[in-house]
Amino acid sequence: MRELDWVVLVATLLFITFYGIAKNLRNQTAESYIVGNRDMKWWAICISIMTTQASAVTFISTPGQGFVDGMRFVQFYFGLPLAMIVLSAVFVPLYYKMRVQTAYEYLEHRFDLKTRSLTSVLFLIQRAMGAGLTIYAPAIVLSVVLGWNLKLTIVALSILTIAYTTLGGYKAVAQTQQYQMVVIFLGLFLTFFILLFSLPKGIGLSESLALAGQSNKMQLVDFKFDPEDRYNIWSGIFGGFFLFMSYFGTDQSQVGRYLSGASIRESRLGLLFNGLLKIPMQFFILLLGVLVFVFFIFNKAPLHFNPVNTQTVETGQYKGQWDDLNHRYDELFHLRQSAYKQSLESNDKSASVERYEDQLKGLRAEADSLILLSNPKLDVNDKDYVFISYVLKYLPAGMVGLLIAVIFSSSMSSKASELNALASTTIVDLYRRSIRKGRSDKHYLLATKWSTVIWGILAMLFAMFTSLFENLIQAVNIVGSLFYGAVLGVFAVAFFFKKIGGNAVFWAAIAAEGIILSLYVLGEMKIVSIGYLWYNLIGCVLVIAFGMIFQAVNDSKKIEKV
Amino acid sequence: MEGEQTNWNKAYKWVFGVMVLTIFVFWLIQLKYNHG
Repeated sequence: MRELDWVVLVATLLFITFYGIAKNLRNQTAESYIVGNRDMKWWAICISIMTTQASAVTFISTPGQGFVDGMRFVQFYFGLPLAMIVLSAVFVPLYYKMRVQTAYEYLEHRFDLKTRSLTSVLFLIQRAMGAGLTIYAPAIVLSVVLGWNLKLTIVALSILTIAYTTLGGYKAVAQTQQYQMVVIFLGLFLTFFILLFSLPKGIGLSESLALAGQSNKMQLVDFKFDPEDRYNIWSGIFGGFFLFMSYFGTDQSQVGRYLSGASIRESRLGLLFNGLLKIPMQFFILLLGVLVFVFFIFNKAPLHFNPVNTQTVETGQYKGQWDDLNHRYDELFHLRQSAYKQSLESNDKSASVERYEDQLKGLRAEADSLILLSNPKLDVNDKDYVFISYVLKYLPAGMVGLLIAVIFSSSMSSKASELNALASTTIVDLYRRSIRKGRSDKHYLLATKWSTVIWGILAMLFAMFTSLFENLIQAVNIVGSLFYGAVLGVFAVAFFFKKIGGNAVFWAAIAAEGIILSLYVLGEMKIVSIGYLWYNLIGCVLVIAFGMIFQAVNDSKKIEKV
Repeated sequence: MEGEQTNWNKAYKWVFGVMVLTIFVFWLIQLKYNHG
């Protein structure tokens, strides 16, 4: 990073942080701290929802996904508009009717206190770990690429976020998200144009898409139904619908965003516009990855993108083989480039492009093997390093700082919403409801601030020690899936099965969770084999089924008594 | 109240329509450019 990059990065982050704090220090109440003054316009809600969902992973991994696998990933979001319609039509009116501050508060109105407390605790467990990863994921990539100290990066990012989230509350989170959105889009649009203008003469957007299409990277809609294939139109519409329903409908870090709307109209419009804008946004980010792929047809990319892995081989006993591999890669690079150019002239599918792409894949696989031979513990998946490698090597001074500010901003905006949601749920659903009732507003305001600090520090510590435990990221994803299904099931019963009451749904959730945890243990013992993403669906269906059974038993007992 | 509900139903249909249109446009882009 050059001096100008540091100036852009530090100035952007400090401006956002201190603006958020300065504008929102005064006139706070516990309610305004948690859901603002309930005066948010639809566009502000939409921005808040989008920046909360788009974490740093979106800007690090998604272009890498476009580079490796093309545009297919965009199908994952096809179910989102449908989920937004159902949320606007069913969830939002009920949340507004009860004037709740958290999603779980609604469950007490609909069922009882114990169901509310149970779902709040389940949310807190999974979101607290998720908040740690929100910071850890970009910090690990940046520390590898830029040589920064990992722990220091985590601490710096965490302290900035904790500062404005704690001091400014909900409004600081929402206002800073608007500036973060500006930084994010400015960075992405500038990169898009720089990429386009850095391609050889005669290669514009249309030609770039045709070149990418030669290696199947322009597949946007796949109608073939294949349950093992993660990205096709069917898994996108149906799988995506359930995933986004549970995320936007029951996760307080999102529900808190639209509960702050000035009216039900503003909240609905915010959600619906999110449904409309998210797909083009993901399309655009993937397109950046595809353009990087085209850029690297004409400029030689490294054989492997993770610099630490490359360095390990270059300084180890396999250096000779590595050099030989790179020599073969040099030759292939020129042949491949010519084949792509010819394919553009003939405007048809080129057999030679396919052959050279296969050869390149083979070379990359050989590179992975050499890395693993040098150190079996290294992770050879370098997808997350593709875009950041391009940014650091080819973007002009100032732009690198801006792009790193994009990654940091997205990480901070997600983390701020998560901290705000963790603190709100802790105070509203547990502390104020069950632990310390009837205290002053000032007391609860202070308690929420302390809760934000404590959750922030816990998430920071979690992020700092994540690197010590192998497979922790996957473990966190598994823990999320173990609880998400039951929580979604409770909400599904609340909204769509009016005859099922509090006792039935509470014990149904406990029973379902018990079965899910047992299945997980049996899976670990290799007795059964279920992909952990299925736990969401199984948990949800079990809560509904048990809820019906328990309610029926309950009803029959009552009839007997009468 | 009923008029408002009708307006919302229209909005939902619009969102659904834009979603279908987006997928259709994506499919056209794929037809034009994807030769792999």
